[in-house]
Amino acid sequence: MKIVETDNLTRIYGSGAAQVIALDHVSLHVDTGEFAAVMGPSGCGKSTLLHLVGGLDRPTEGMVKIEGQDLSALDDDDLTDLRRQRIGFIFQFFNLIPTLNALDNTALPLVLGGMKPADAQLRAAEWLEKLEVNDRSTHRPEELSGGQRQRVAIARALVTEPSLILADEPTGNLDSGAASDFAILLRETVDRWERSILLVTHDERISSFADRVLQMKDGRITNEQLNHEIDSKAPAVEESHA
Amino acid sequence: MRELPLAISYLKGRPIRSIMTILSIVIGVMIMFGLNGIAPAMKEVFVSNTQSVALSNVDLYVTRQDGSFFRQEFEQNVGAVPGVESSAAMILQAVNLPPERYQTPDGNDVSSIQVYGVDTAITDETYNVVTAGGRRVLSGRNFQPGDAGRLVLISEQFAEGLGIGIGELVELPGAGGWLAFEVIGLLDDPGLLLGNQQVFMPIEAAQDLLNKPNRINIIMGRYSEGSDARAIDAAVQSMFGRGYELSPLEGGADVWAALLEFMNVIFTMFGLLTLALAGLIMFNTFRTSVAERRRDIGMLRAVGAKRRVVMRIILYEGLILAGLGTVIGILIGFAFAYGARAGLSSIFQDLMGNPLGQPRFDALTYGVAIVFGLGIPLVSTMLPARSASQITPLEAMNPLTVSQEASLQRSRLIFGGISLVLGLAGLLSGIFPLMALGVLIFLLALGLLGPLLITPITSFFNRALRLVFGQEGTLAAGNIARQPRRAAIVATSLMITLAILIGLGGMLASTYGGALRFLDDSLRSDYIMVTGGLIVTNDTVGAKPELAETIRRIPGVEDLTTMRQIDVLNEDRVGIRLIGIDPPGYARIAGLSFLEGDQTAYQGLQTGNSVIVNGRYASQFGVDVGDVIRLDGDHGEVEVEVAAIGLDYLNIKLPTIYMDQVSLTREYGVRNDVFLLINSEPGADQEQLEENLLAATRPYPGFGILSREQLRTSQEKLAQSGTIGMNILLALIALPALLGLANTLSINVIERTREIGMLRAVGAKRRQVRRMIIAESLLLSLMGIALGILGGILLSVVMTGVLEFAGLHIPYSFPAVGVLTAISVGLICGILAALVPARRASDLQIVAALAYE
Repeated sequence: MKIVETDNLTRIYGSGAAQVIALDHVSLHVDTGEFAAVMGPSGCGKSTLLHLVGGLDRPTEGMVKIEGQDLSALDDDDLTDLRRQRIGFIFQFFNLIPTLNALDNTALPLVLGGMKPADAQLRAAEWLEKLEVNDRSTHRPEELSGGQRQRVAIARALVTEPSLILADEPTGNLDSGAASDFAILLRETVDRWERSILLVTHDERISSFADRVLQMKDGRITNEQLNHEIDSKAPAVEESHA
Repeated sequence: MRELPLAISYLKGRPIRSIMTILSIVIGVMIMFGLNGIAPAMKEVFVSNTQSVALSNVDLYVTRQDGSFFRQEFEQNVGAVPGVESSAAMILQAVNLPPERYQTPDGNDVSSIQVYGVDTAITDETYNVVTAGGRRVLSGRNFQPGDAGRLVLISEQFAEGLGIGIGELVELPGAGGWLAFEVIGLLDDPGLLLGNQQVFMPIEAAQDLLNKPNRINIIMGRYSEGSDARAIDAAVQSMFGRGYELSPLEGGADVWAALLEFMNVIFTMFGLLTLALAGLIMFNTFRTSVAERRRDIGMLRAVGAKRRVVMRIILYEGLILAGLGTVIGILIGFAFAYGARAGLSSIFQDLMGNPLGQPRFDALTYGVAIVFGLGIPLVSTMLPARSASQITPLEAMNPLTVSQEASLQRSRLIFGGISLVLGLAGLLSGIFPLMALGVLIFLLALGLLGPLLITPITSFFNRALRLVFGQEGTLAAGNIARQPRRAAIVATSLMITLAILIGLGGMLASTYGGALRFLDDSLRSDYIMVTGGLIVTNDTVGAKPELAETIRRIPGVEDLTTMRQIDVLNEDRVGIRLIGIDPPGYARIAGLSFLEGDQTAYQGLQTGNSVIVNGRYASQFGVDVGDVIRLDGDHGEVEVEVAAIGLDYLNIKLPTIYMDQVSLTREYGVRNDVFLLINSEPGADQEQLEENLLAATRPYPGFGILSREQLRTSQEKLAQSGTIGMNILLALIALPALLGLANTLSINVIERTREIGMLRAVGAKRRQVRRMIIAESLLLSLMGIALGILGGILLSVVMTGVLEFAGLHIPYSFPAVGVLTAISVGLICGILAALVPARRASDLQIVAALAYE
């Protein structure tokens, strides 16, 4: 089943001589349980694609469907609900709230959705434990290492049990070791917890963990290839920390 | 000047922030400029309109320092001094006219006349005040030796307005009622201030008009040729003694001087306070904007801008905002002054019988507004400008993050703690000046310790916030705690505003409430007859005792007493008021509220050896029962003993001495009644009585009658108007605090743009973002309210103490209304201030917000 489907997706900024076609009639899909990576040079439109798929922006032309739901039919509140319930976001700079500790940061989407804070914290604690960062749950972001922050960010993305994870340059702020760890975690998210991922990156090491890599240039998909070399069974998380 | 375009471009890039900062300066300048523009008109209503006269060939003048009258026979004494060739007597007195009775041809109201009583027997042209004073007789004739009776010279302009000519009669208001004078000559236009006209008449006619037989207030003289002027002056001064001076008549005894100066100070303080709040906002805004532009400034330094260039950029920004705010503030200040005049005019009409004049803006008014309007904001900008100049080029390389503020300096804690202890010590001392100082230091302590209080106060309100706003409330509390100094400045400005609101509100409530209680005690009569308004000056003619006799004979009048009045200078050359009462009648019908002594003091007054003083007099001059006061009367120095200290409603604000009317007449020649207090017989037909009383006053210009109920109602209305006016001013002062709050919230939103974008991305709806901003705003307001109520209650205690210290003896009333108003104002500020920033935050485009740096 297609969890993400776009058809002639286009995004144009400005008008007349100042017009910029950030995305030019892109049609793609991501299947359930698939890890897809989008690569390309700066300004090729990969982040714009992600924003449109995640309902953070509206296309100029074309269509986006998430689990069969056409996003153009939704108003702002419904889009927000969809983001909260069905999509998890991981940002380049993690964007954790500095005044909340790791537990509250993780629980944030649940509380915003109306869950009681105590219940939300219980669920958040479960995910922090799965990501092996529960011993830092009472610490604020400034007290966490880069790797720990990335795990909290993933936990927050997963806490609402979304079907789809969207990650925009998630390793842009990490050193190579942490970046590799992160990529392994993402792989595990697909294999162990059966999520679908659409990831934007310019880092080939990260894209090598994906099932499929799409190349973009000048707002269009220029190439697509499957990564057969990837072992579909991810190593245990503990081994990656050796 | 190369920094100027950079400064302008930054201000243009932050239009809302710039506008809000300018607005806060506008309000401060508007208040200062507008109030000081209306102040001269207010002062003029109270001070005497008597104008000075100086004739060119007159060598010598003898007048009383307070402009009051003295015995005419003293003129011969001057003439007898060796070296004095000749002398002449004159009268000069301003007389208030009933409103709208006399007008000049161009429709301007003539509110008073300058009555000149000239000695027509004198042939020496030197003393001819008409021609020697520069006037020309256009038609008719000047006075001639032997002229007597009711003859006048008036200006042609005045005559035209009255529609009369030579040989016709003009009615003038006198102590014995309207008197008709024949016009014998018309003069050119003197170019006097609108509303005043000079009227010349024989000296006896002036004495008759004013009911001052054989009394004058100016002696003129000429030296013989070759005589020693200094020796003559010394001899004359020695002859007359203290209380007299050798100069033309100057102004008079301004009993209102201290109070009006105090009013001026209060007006300026209001404006300064508002500007200080604006300065606080500017400091906060610039401090934040420098932090926000850290990378840009680092870049400027990296490409070659020196420290002083960076500093100048920030200072130029401050100067532009201050300049625009000052100019706009002055422009709107004109409207504010005219608006205030319109609002106050009816009050002055009721009180004084005269409307308020037009606002006037002299060089000092402009100067004060410009200096403070530019100065305070610029001073506020200096520290942030200096910080900006310290930024190194390396800052250009660092990523911009919203960091939590570093822990507060120990010195703030130490100074704040010491201030708190000192402030409390002053407050608990029980000594008024220390208490006043204690409150100021206490407020300073709250300001210094504010950032330290942010976290505990935030925690205190956190539960309530979570209850109302849920998770958004917790986020809001965390946001505030992240920037304690910024939050503290905003809360402090709100605190100061609300503290003043409560403090002044408390003082006003005490003053008006207390004053109305005195009204009931001191004006107990069924009716009061007044001329013009309730406030009487030396320009009020009053009525001869015949009016009182006429009133006594009216059926239905059971009892009556009268009051007389003159304002003089005491031995310290300070204006005081002397009230002449008929002690037994006054005790029966009216009465004082005694602070010390009792009713038996009235008996002492009849001996002429003792007086009663009011609380203001006792406080101002440090006088107690049993002390001796020296007064300069007609017969030289008079010593009287203070028999009691009492208060009455009409003179509560002025230093006043109550004496027997016989003494007042003997020493100061005051014969006219200015207040008549009347009691009706039980069961009398009130309607008929009032008609008869009104009919009796008709011959007496400007006199009106008020029942006790009408008087109370009019004074209550006055109190209400005063309260409304003060509340409007206080609301204006609250505006900078509101703007400061809105400004801070806007800055907070900008700083957290990416964070807000993330919140929206992970599922926060627009209304949840708005609620978070509103919760922040309410939290800041609650802090300001909590501290403001504390400071305000203390301030209200001290401000009532100010009144006590000034001898007004008003009992303290807890400012319950002020506290409720402060809470309402604070919460309304909190909600209003959040509206725009909350909307902007919720409308942020998620993608742009996520990419924001």
